[in-house]
Amino acid sequence: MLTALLKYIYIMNAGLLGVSVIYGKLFVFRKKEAMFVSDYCAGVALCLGLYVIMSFLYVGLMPDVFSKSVMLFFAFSPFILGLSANYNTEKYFTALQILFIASSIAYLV
Amino acid sequence: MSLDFELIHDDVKTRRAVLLFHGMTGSPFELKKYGQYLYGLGYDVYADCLPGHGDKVEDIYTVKYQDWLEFSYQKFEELDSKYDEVFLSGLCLGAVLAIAVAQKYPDRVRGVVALSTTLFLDGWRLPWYSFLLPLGLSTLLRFYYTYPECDPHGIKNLRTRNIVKKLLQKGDVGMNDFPMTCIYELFKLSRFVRNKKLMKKVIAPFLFIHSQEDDLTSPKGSKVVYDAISSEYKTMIVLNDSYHMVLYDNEKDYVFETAGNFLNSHSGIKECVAC
Repeated sequence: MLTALLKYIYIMNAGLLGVSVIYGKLFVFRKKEAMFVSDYCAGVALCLGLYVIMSFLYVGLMPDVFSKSVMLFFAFSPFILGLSANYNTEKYFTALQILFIASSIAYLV
Repeated sequence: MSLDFELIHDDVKTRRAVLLFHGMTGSPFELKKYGQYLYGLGYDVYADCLPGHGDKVEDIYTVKYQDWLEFSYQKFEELDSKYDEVFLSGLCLGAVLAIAVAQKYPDRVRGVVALSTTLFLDGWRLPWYSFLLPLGLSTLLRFYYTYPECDPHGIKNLRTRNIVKKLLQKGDVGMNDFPMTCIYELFKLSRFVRNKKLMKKVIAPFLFIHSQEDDLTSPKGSKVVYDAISSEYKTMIVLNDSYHMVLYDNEKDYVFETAGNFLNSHSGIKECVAC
């Protein structure tokens, strides 16, 4: 029951994270209303924080080493991509991040 | 349009200079009145735009902290070769750069005036979600997020604040926002400067001025440096009626005077060009 609930929250949060990043990149981050963009980014950051925490949680819940490794990768992926990207390559890394988020959802489903 | 300035005494060869560094997303404009005051005391004064803060706005997104360091070192070396004494002074990020130069050239820096030293972002103005800053800085979020310049703009004095707001909206004197990528580089610079071995090398006289009510960064940043450096002479003054931009706020005259007295008391050259 608890694992089902966790899975549901994980998928919903990851989905929300992916959608909000895409929507942000397309429409929000270019806006001039800096306070709105700032608040939106904070919302995305909260989702991202929850995504990372839940991925780490699933490392503990997964039954085998391979599954644990996969979830560990998903947990670290935002930091690996974040520290590898620069201003010029950021859009490619964003696409990768969205791909990883979608993959984590697919892996759990 | 370049906001760099040099205030040089043409009529007489001055042997003392002050190198000024402006703050993050700012420009030498914020140092102008301060520079003019020090010029009046007989110092040649130099202030340049830091890398990433020039005419091309997009440069701020790609600048690295190493660019700031190399620029500061180079500027100091240029002045050190021309003057007998070179003092440093900086506001915010500029104060951190002044400290870095004092670390690299411990025997050659004559003295440092560090204003609102920004090693941490822990001021009262920061939004409630600033606890997410480490997450934002280490992920792709730092490319999306820009911290908006907002009230009180680092200035407690209402009249001055309104004037600065209008100037910022025009975009002539500084940027309206703080890109997260720039804050990321500031934090990397902060880590670099806080190295204990480098701090122990600092022997130049130091004056720290920081406001108790600084909206962007608390006096903790100044205190950390004050405690770590090996300078025989170091003093810390905490202001009670100003915010972050101490060069423009209610106690600016006191800041100018204190800085001027500090420089004069640590200069071995007693010349008064203004007399």
